[in-house]
Amino acid sequence: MKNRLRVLRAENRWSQADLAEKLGVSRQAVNAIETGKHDPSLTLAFALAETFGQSIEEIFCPKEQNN
Amino acid sequence: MSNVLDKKEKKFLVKFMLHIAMFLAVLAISVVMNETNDLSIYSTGFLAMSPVIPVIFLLRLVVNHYRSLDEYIQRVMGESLLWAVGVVGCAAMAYGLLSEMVEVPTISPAFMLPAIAVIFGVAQSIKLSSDTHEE
Repeated sequence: MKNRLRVLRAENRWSQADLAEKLGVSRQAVNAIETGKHDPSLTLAFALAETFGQSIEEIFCPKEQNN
Repeated sequence: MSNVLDKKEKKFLVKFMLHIAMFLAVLAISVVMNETNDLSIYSTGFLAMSPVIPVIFLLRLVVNHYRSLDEYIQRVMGESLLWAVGVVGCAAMAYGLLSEMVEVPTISPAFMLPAIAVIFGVAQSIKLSSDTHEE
């Protein structure tokens, strides 16, 4: 699944470690989500949406829709 | 949170090392007692298997630690465990089949768990190595 996590993180000037700390997960988890290696659970997706003050749909989208 | 994770990780590592130390101590005691005393078959059997007790506690520690990890690390650990069990299982099966046809040295099944643990560690570090650097 594609996501705008890296862009949103850059806009907020947060490092992966900063975001991981806010979410309560490891930095590796943030990295894996950003690079598309791992699709987050609904719980984590909601936590991400809340952290960036956006809806889940604004952060994540299926790969097909992105083209 | 990273500090909290570090603290949690350090606490886990200390407990892990204590369990390993306990295992080695029990192993040493069981070997010495079996070699120096003329015990009954039941006592000898119990002493021979007694090092498994700290290993069971160690397993409980690792499972509790697994539950406290985030979903991605849990996934990596799960996949690593599958690889470890699969590789050791296939190797054991291949060796077993080979021993049916060719005379090969006997390998104790006691080495299976350490082999799984080593391959699990290697697989986990390979899987996490690509996440080490921030992109």
